Amino acid sequence: MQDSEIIERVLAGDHAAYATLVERHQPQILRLLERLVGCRDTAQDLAQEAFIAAFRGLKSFQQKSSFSTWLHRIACNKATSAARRRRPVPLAPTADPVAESSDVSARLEQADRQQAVKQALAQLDQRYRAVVVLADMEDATYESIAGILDIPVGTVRSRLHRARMELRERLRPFVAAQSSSS
Amino acid sequence: MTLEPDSPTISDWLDGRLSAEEADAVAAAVRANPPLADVAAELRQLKELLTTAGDQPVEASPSLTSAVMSAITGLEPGNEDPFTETDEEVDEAVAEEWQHVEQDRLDQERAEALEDEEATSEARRTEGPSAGSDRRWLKPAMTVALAAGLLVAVMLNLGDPPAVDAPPGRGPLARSVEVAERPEIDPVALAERMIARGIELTEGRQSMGTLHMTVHLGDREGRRQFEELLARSRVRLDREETMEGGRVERIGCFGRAAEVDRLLETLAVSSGSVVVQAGSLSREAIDRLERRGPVAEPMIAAADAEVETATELQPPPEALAGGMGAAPRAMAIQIAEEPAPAADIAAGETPEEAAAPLIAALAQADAPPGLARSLGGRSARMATPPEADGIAAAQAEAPPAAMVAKAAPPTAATNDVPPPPKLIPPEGYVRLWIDIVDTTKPAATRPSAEGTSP
Repeated sequence: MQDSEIIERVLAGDHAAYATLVERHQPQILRLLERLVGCRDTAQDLAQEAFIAAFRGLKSFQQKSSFSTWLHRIACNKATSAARRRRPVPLAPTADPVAESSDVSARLEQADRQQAVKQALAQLDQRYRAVVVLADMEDATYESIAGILDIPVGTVRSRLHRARMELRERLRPFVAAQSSSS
Repeated sequence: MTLEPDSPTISDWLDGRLSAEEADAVAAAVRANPPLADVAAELRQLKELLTTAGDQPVEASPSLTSAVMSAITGLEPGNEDPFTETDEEVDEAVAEEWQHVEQDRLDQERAEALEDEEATSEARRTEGPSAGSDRRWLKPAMTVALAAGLLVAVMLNLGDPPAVDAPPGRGPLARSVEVAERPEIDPVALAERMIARGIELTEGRQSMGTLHMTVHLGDREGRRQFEELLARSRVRLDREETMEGGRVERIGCFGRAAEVDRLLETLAVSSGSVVVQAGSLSREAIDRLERRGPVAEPMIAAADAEVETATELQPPPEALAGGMGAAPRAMAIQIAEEPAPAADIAAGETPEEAAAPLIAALAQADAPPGLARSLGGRSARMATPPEADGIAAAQAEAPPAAMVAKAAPPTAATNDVPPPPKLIPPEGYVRLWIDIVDTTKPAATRPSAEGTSP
């Protein structure tokens, strides 16, 4: 069933149908939020807030964009607000950084890389972080990023490049390592 | 085609967003320019790194679904704006918290005042019946005066901090951008226009709004009071880092210009006698300080060639005796401004034309300190005597203001601490970095710390 059909059912009074939307979209929203805030627990809290906010504002959703884009935008907004309100949470090591790698040293190396990426992202300004996470980790197009963050495509473009230049400096050892290994 | 590494066109190219013709031109430019080729190669590798780092699967959480469904039970889908937490609302929440804090403080002051009054009445009663009978009018009069005073205090304290409405060139934004000297130019609006046109002014926005401050705390009580002061302020903490073996804690925070000024002003007053650079505080903040106590004539701080004009501030005795005035005096505060790019506007120039040198200067913001200084960077020092140690010392006899100024310690504690990262505060906000130095812990590796006295 399409998102739009579920939304119609929810608006018609079948609130239980909203669970389908939550289950369908929560992996992407959780992953996005975890990358934006650097903490799984906080990401869970914010995802919950985002889904509740979406429900409360469902009538205002005019379906000009997809529900997913609208939800991503709400989630990004929650992450930005959280960054302004709260003290940063210390970065916890990724629980299971490498799922399928068999070689121990390769697993450790990848775990190091993932932790470094996480820390480098955490040091980026929130606005840059959102753009680079969406572009390079969520594989979103410039246009959809512009829709999610409600900024012009030109701003996406400049923020993305700046974010990458900053990350390039912060992750230079890993980028160099990739360079030498590739 | 000539390309700079900072050009977003490189990312466009890497992301396949250019036409075939444009892509060929960029590829040729990259081939012809080895440094540019390095940048492009590294960015390409970075993209791969981020993609692989982003491959972690995230599973659906049944508990999240049930939590959401439980939370919406009894609710109806509505028209509420899901993007609700605007700055204004966050501000309201902070303002509410601020009011609670202020109300608590006022309640405490009122209770203390009533206690004092009762003690005074008791003393008068013990003096004899004639004294009491002669002054029976005094008690109701004092009560009325006290109530009126409290009412005024509530009105003064519960409102928002007064907006900074300093003349151009005198307000906090003027501390780094010379275009503010021109009344017809609002540097923030100018920056906004530049950004709207896709011109990157990020360094400039940062230079306009970043302050870096070092606070030396002598004991636990000093630290407690400092944290209380921060908690009372409206600045919002968003970064935290520990350096130099745990001796230096760096916190990053931001707030509206008026809020940051208010915090700086409170620190200035509560730290006893301070020297600040005229302009580090807004004109209005300095005016408020002047109303609290005498402000000496502007003086030249020869100790630091970078300090051009300093204003010495001596708080009134009551500021030291209690309340916020009892905050730690064992602190030395260093305010170092970020490099301040300069720009000027000639007659007939458009704001955009005027901004061109500003943008060029901002592009150099990462340049060596010498260049940064030449761009107008300044630093100022606010300090109390180094021998002052905690509250006990704070309540000791305050040295004469002039002596304090000359005895200003070098605030060298952060010589080995790297400068804070360049972060852009949210729009309309000023970013403030505070390095909190625990002077009870030994310095890790600072052989030159002793030798930097002016």
